[in-house]
Amino acid sequence: MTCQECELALGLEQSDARLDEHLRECTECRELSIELRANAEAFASMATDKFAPVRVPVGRPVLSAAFAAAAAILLAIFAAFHFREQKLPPVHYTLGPMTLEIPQPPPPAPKRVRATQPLMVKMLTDDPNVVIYWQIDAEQEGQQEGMER
Amino acid sequence: MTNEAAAEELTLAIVSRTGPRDRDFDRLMRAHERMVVNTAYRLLGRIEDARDAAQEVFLRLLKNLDQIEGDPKPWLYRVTVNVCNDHYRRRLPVREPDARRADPSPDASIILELEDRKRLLMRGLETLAPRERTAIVLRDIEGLSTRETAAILGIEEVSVRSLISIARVKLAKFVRDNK
Repeated sequence: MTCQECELALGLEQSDARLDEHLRECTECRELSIELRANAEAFASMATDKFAPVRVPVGRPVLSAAFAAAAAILLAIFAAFHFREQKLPPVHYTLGPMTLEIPQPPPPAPKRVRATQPLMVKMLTDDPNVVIYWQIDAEQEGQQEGMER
Repeated sequence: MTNEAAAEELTLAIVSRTGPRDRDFDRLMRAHERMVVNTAYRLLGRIEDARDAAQEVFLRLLKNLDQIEGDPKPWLYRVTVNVCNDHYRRRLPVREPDARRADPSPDASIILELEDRKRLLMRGLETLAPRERTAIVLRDIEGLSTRETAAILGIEEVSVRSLISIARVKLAKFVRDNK
């Protein structure tokens, strides 16, 4: 048996007289055989290794979901109140006879009434039959009106 | 799908579930959790990655619960292997395992020797081809039969035997050369 055949047989965990004979003669293959047996024990040990279980977050998400649901409800209530306050009153449309309104001019401002009488100035002349009267109206301020008699 | 997205989707799915279907899922998950995590760990070499992979596997289980009939083990192994293969392709290099603890007692030395070998084997698994690694994990660590391993890998039994034989010898040489 060659070393290559021996390795193949060892890898397949076979056992026969030819293999045993080769192992007695070949130190390298014997050492390999020892390593293979030790590895098999280590593999068996690996199978029973304990690991912390994968934490599937069941409790926390449920709690989070409860919080999320509560938050959603609160938000909905807040939104309902908020939009109700801002809601405009309903508009009702009624159709009636159409009227045309013409805007009226503003009423005239009342005339100012002078409380005092027009100023009358009497001027005597040399002729006793001639007298000059000056009447000064407030609205015609600056104008002079002469009357001769 | 990213790990975060998978975890979030799993969370959402679990939050929304009720009824007997979900009790089935809980039962299946409890029964096969160790198997999935262990297999993923051996295939990926890092427990954090194994947990992420396990979450992905259970998410797929939840989605496909109605389609799985009979024993879910083969389905779970197959999905675990697929998820780990995807994960393996895109992950960062594995860190070196922790250094050994100093403990002089005889029992502890035996345990330490075993733990050292397991660490070496974990490193050795990294050096194997993906199919060889998967075959070794399923056959030698998980204890599946050659037929079951072949079904999961989708190859012939004779191919599994060949993969296993080659992988065992490679690992033995790796350990011998790295002790």
